[in-house]
Amino acid sequence: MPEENWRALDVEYDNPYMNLAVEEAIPRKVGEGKVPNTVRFWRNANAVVIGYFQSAKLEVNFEACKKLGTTISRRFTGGGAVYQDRGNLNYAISIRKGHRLIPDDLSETFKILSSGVVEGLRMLGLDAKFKLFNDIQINGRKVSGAAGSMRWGTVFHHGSILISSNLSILSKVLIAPNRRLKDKYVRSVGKTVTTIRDELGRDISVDEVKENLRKGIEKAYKIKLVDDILTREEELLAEELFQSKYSTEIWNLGR
Amino acid sequence: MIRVTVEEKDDRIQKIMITGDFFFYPEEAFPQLEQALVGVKADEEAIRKVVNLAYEKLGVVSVGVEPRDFVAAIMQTLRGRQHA
Repeated sequence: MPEENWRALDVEYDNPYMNLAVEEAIPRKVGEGKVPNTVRFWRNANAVVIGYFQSAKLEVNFEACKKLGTTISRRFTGGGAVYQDRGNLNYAISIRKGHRLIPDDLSETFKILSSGVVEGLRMLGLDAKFKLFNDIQINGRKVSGAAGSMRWGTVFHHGSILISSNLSILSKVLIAPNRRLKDKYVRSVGKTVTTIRDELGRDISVDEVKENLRKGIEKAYKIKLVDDILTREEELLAEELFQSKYSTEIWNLGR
Repeated sequence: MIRVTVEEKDDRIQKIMITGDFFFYPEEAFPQLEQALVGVKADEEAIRKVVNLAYEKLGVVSVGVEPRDFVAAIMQTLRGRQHA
């Protein structure tokens, strides 16, 4: 079987809205067949990213965000709100529909597409396990959450990996699921969420994590990742999506 | 977790917003589910019927949530409690 080459992109911006605009531009172009299947790694500096179906008002502490300079943004996939700083690495996978990796069952898709990251974390010496239906855990604590979509002729899967994020800021900017249970929730955040650094018991660079995730993805998907850059078409589309959607209040706070 | 904001008038749903951390495909069909619930009698059977019908007609597939979870969340909000 000939080797299957995918694109690896390392594209990130200071502006979280632009990061999310690129996040949409890539699967659109993959679906059009203009670019190969793609894995993107990127980070946000200081942002809350809420799920497509979530209410900003109900999930995010606006006051805390204002105080901490945290941007509130919305992604195009479902799932829950996440806090992202430089200690959090995002990965995004865009695969053209009909690919051998994609099963019919959606829940199974999450599992299969998480397998690359699980493999990469294991290469780092961590006992990472996929947990239904969109988490990766180490020793029973969540280190990564994933979300996905099927649109534009593409199966899209992305997730956030806590490498060394500030978990105390996370509990300030996100509203606890039930106000009455707030104390319990805040305590449980420290208990149920973990970081790669804490699990390894040493500092680790983002590059080292990324390198292992790349290898894990190559092994699990049986592909080869080739470094590349965004095409001009993707950049133009991202710019357009930034202007018309991701930087607008109606998109981010409208629900 | 599903969070529901609902306004009721004369025992019927007048306004409804359903939000949460679920996965619902196609995503763009979601407003149609909310819209389908407007004007529906505020009882469990009527709501279940509309949610099931919307799933069927819109070809919805969801992950992490099922039609009955939406029904339960709406009913709990109508009864004045939050659905966890």
